[in-house]
Amino acid sequence: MIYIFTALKCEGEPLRLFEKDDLKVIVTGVGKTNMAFALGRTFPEGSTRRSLVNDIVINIGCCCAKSLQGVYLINKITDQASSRDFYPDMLRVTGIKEAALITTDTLVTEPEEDVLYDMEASSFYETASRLLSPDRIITLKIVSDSGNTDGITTSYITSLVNDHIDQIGEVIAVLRSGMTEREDEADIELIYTMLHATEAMKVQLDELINYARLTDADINKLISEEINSICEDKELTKAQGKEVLKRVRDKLTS
Amino acid sequence: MCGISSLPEVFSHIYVEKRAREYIMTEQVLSHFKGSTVIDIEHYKDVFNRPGQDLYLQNSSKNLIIAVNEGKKIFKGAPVCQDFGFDRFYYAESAMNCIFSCDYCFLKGMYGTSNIVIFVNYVDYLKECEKMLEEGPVYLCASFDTDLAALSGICSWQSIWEDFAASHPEFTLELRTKAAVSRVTSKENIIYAFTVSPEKIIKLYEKNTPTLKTRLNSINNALSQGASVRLCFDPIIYVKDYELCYNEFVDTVLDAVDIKLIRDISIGTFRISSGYLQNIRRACPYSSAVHFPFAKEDGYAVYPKKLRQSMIGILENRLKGAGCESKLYVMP
Repeated sequence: MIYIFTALKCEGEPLRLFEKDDLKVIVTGVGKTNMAFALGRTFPEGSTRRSLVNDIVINIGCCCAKSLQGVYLINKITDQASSRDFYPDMLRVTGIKEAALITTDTLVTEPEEDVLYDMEASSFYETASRLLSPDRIITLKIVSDSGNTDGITTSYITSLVNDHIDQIGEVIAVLRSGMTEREDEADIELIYTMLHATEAMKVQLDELINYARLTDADINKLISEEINSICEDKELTKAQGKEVLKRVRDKLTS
Repeated sequence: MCGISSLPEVFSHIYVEKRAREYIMTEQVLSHFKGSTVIDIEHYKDVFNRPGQDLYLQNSSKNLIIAVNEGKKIFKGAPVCQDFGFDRFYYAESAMNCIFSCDYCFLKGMYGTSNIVIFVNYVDYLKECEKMLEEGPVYLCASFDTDLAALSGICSWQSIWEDFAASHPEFTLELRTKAAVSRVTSKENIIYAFTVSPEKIIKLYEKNTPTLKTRLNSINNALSQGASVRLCFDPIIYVKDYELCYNEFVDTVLDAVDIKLIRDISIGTFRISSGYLQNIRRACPYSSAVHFPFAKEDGYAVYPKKLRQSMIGILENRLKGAGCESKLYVMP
């Protein structure tokens, strides 16, 4: 799943055209606290790195810069208040030019050269990085002004996002192309039951089944053969379950 | 499987510590990557130690970090390492991680990233070695947490260590590598330790490394220049037809290399700390080399004893038969 987080409704509206079953746009409100809360609400309690291994988050929004213009993929985020730096992992070729960004708590009126300024990205990265790998936390910023926000209206922001919608779409396409889910492990509940597997045996069985899959060995056949050789047509005892496990291991590793 | 078709090239991004900017080696490294995006950082750990990095994805698109090592630089050798009879056996952390991507490599278990760090304050390392030498002879593996020969095209660490060893006879230097080494320094106290594996193992599990033929050519080249050469049949990796695979492999090595000229030979099967194995498995979810159902002995994942003995026996017996008994160091 791809989640796009924008601070403003007017930033998020144009992006809704990308919404499908695999992509959702979330409007957070302005500032670091709102962004952190929105991320917290998005990922349910109990989420782990493992449970979110196929998820990607993108922060898209406007920013301020002295002379830079257009849309940027952020490769370094500095939180001005804490001086902490964050580095998204740049593992995908998107074609978008890159820049560093500073997240501030107040509007910047006198930006420095060659750097972008926003009000959410550090909180976005810091919060997301507790659950997602750094290559799955993407920040895209569009320069809207150079420190003077006079005349910056919601309709201007919406049209600015629309102006860059093709580039944003290309980034989303790259991310979608890499989202084929990693292979699920085989359903092995039946094998657990047949062998009366304890928790320790389940760990060993998982390991054997995975190894068999990687070496093209037919684990079901191996287990069936051993079960049949030990007790044809009868239910295995716990001790026999252990014996089957041992024999299958020996066959796979000799 | 995660799609990786859109991955950038190796070293598309280079992270440089601000304090590393003043070192010559930094300039030297950066001069090889004019097209890379260079990002200034405060400390290498801000990038290297980020939590939850996807090693599987990074393996195909490694980035580089250039840093100053202000911490420990020289370490005592670990018990699972072959010490070749040297009491004062150390390794240096000149760089961390490797340009090669061997599935079974302990570096994948030890570090939470595939990115490579090159430390540029080599003078500090040499000073530390000078101090250690005041207390007696030192044996140092300089290419332990990396493959310095493989990095020799972009930084001068290998020649720095060679030059130091050449002027310090009490300092024995080991440069372990899978790379194609073209230039060597012919000194008794500089050991080029070539890891050799069957071509089948190289293709399956040692991604981006030179072929067996290339490695054997490198070994012969080093021998012809009078270098001190060690052969490392370590780690031996299990495959279903390991007996055939490793017997043919020994034939190939013995045909290609004048074994009498080899300084010594190490033999060992794959072994790794159980904690590292979990990380390696996450980094290489599709590699049968690391998903083998290992036995656990004293905190280490190892092949079952019978299998281990059988695998070692093949190489040990064949090499003894070739007259190398006195040169063998076997990790049981």
